[in-house]
Amino acid sequence: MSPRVRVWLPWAFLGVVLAVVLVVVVASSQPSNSPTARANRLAHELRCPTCESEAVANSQAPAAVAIRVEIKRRIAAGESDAEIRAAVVKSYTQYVLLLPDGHGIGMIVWGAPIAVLLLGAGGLAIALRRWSQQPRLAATAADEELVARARSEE
Amino acid sequence: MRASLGYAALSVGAASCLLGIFTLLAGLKTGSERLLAVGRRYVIGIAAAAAVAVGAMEWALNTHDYAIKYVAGNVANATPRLFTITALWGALEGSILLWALILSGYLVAVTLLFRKRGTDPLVAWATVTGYSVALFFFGLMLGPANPFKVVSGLEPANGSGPNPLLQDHVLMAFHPPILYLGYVGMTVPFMFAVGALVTGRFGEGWLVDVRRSTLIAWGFLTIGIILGAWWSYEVLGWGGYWSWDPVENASFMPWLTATAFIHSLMVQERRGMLRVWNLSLVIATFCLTILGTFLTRSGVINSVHAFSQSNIGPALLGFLGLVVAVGIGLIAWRGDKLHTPGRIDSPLSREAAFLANNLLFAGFAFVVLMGTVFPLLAEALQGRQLSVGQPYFDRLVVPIGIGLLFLMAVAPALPWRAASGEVLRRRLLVPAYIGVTTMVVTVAFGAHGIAQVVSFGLGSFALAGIGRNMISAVRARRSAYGEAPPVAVVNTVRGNPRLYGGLIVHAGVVIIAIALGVSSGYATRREVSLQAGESAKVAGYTVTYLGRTIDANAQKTTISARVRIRQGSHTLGVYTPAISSFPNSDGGIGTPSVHTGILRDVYLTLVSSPTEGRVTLGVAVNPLVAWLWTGGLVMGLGTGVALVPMKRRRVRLPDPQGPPSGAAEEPSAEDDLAPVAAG
Amino acid sequence: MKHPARKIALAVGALFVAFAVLLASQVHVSPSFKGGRLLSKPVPTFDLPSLTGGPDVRSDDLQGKVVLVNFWNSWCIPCQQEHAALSAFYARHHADGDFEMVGIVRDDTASAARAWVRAHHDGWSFVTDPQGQTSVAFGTTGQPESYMIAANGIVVGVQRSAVSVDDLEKMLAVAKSSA
Repeated sequence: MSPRVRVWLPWAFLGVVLAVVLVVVVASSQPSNSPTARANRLAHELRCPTCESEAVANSQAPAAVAIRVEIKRRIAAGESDAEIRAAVVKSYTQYVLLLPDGHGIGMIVWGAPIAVLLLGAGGLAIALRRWSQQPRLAATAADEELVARARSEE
Repeated sequence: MRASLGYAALSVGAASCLLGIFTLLAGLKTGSERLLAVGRRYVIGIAAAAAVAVGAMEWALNTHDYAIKYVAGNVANATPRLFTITALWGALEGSILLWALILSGYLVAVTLLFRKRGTDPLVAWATVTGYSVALFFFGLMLGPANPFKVVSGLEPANGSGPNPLLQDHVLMAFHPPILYLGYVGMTVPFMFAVGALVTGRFGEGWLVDVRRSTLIAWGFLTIGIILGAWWSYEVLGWGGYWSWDPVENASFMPWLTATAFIHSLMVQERRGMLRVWNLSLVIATFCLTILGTFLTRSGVINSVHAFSQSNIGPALLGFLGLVVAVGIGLIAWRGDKLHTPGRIDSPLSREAAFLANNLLFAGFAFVVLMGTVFPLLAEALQGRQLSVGQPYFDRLVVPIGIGLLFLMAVAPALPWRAASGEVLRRRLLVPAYIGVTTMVVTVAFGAHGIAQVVSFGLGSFALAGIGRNMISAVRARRSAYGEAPPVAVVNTVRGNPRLYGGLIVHAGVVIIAIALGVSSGYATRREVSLQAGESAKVAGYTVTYLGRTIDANAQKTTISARVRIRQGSHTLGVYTPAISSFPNSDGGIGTPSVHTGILRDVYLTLVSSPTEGRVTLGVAVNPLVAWLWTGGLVMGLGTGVALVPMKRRRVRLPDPQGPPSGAAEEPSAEDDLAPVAAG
Repeated sequence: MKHPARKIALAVGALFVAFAVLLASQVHVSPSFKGGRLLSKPVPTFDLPSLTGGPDVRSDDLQGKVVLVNFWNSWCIPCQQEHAALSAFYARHHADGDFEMVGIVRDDTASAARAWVRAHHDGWSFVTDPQGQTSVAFGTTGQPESYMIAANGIVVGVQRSAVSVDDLEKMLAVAKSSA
């Protein structure tokens, strides 16, 4: 085995094991679609209209309880998550969506942070490349000559 | 009388600030050392004024002087002593008073610590800045946020008492003051940043001054935020500890930029780079504290912490504008002078890792800012009411957190300047294997959730790296000096407190990261309806409803359900979730009852008011919550270690006779790894 | 190389000024939830059981009439305060022939609500909302809330607080003129 391979082999092996573990985890962690799990998820995405700032899932206010009951009723009636969300929004306006809609003005709240991070990462990558391409300081021929002369004069 | 005394004290405080500013400015202009010395003395007036004002308020609170509006609104005859004292910071005006007190305390500390450099213009400008900020807060209290305002008309016989949520738990005595020690403390680095910019001196001295003060404020802010999360968990009863509420975000944003600064400062120390960026971070941190105060006290945002509508909004916004203008103006003015022709040699170096760290922290702060401010944006631009809540933050913040965990694991092993493959292999391979092995083992035992499993892997990777670092350093020390293990550990840490303090803080962060993932991803929550004597089983715990207790006193009426919790055959105790009603607020306030275990918490809440015959309980089993608080403690300890002054560096001369006897030499601070393990 | 600090600083400054103007515009706006937007929208359909043992009340049956829907319960104080206004309004208009009034109990026990109705001899229809579905469909956040619906089924008046006779008369006028 060439020395180069020997150096990289432990890392490569690690990478493979890591990839396998990640695939297994992602496959086994698919969010459950049972009615309770769906109700729970939706209840965490909707805001209690009368509370200061709590999700419907966490509040005992009557409006929150009523919305939780409504969610369960609609899940039992076979509606999809999107339909249930739309129905509650119809009654209470978009105020109750804790996860802002990506359309319209909602694009700002999703787009801006991602744009900032991407731009920052890009800028950093460019800067790093520019720095590493700059030639390292090296002695010029004139400098070498000077040193040689000084040495010979010792 | 108390009101007049308090108000007079505030006036004296404002006057001292003003006079101090003018004296110092005059001294700076004329170069007169005497004027500078006199200007510094005004801090005594400021501190005394704040102390007297706070004293007057506490006096009024504890003697139930209901002629003062603030007292009438925040204590009642039946309020227990502890909560009468803590009512000082229970509402808006009092919290500004606390701010002024803490700020004046910091100003005194700064004046004392820098008394030998009193004639240094940098220190003088910093002091002017500090006085100006103090002047603003005293001014607020003399105007729109007067804590000593007198009730118009008849003095009420009884006050309305504190907000029910603020007289529930002893943490009320700790969380606000400690948080403020951190929050307000961020003024000090800002003061020195302005001083440095105005005088044009950004050398080594400024760095040292700013670093320690930022670290102290950061430590308090960290503990204050953790205490706030604990309070939310123990008192609010919704079962969680962090909800991305605007007030929580207001304290978190400066924490993020301050953390970025603490790291990028090291790049400036080593390579002289990033000076403008560091100054911007310091200024941004202070601006975020003012922005946060504006958002939560002006009434523009709904929040659990929301203080009532007040008219200090415009004043705070104006001050924020002034601070930003000053900061930007100074940087624009001095920007060219700050620039250094530095460069980073390799992407695989600690400097580059710190740059990545800063990118992630800045991005993180931006996400939090965006989420907090977006509802305002939407309302202003389109007149619509939109919300941003936990699901939004979780989605954006978790990947950033994972990135930060990764950097935390890898960066301490990266050398400065450039890393060779050999170095990386020696320092990182074994910890990386430990990380991946941990992931395999946890998945084999049933762990699910990509964020959780990845945090296990990165967390153990990071801890293994920290362990390797310490072990090799201690081992080198023992082979050089033959000390016993405990002594060697202590001396190793004392040899480089900044490094090892930082590693301890990182360990605390790992503990918190793992606890965050596990407690949110692996919790069980159920509602059970029980008759008297009936039991239910939730996640291995049996809860039995024993009956209800009604406790009525002048402060409140509390109805509690007595619930016995058993794990198998072992009884954990009787816990009492309750619902209390206070005379001056409608609606009951629920109080949870929590059994805190090392591995799991059992969290009980009342869903329905208990009758003698039946009750509906919310039972949640939350794993690893106690680790959150423990992690916070570890972070605090690490900060303390990092603040220990480093022993002076000694020049190491070649000694033909071998190492000198006794504890003569300390490892050079240049090399943060043990001498033998270098390279 | 000239440091871009000045340009970046000024750009940040400009952004901040925009941000500050935005914040300033919101300083006097109250952030509390202003409620659902049922105004000018069709009334949600409902089919609710009677509180007092009569037939179910269905929104379809009420088509073609002006309807006042009032969410209430027996213990909320503003509900008690508006009761006199509701009674007077009902007395004045129940013989109009094209007007109906429905009280929907919200967040209360049926027995307490029934006891109230009996004690006050109220004459209009009372129903319960056993699954809370209609309360949510209307976007209610509490009680009392009153909704005036025109004959074509469009909601023309919404009030989320105790009503006075004047408020009711105004809403009725709008309903009658919009048909």
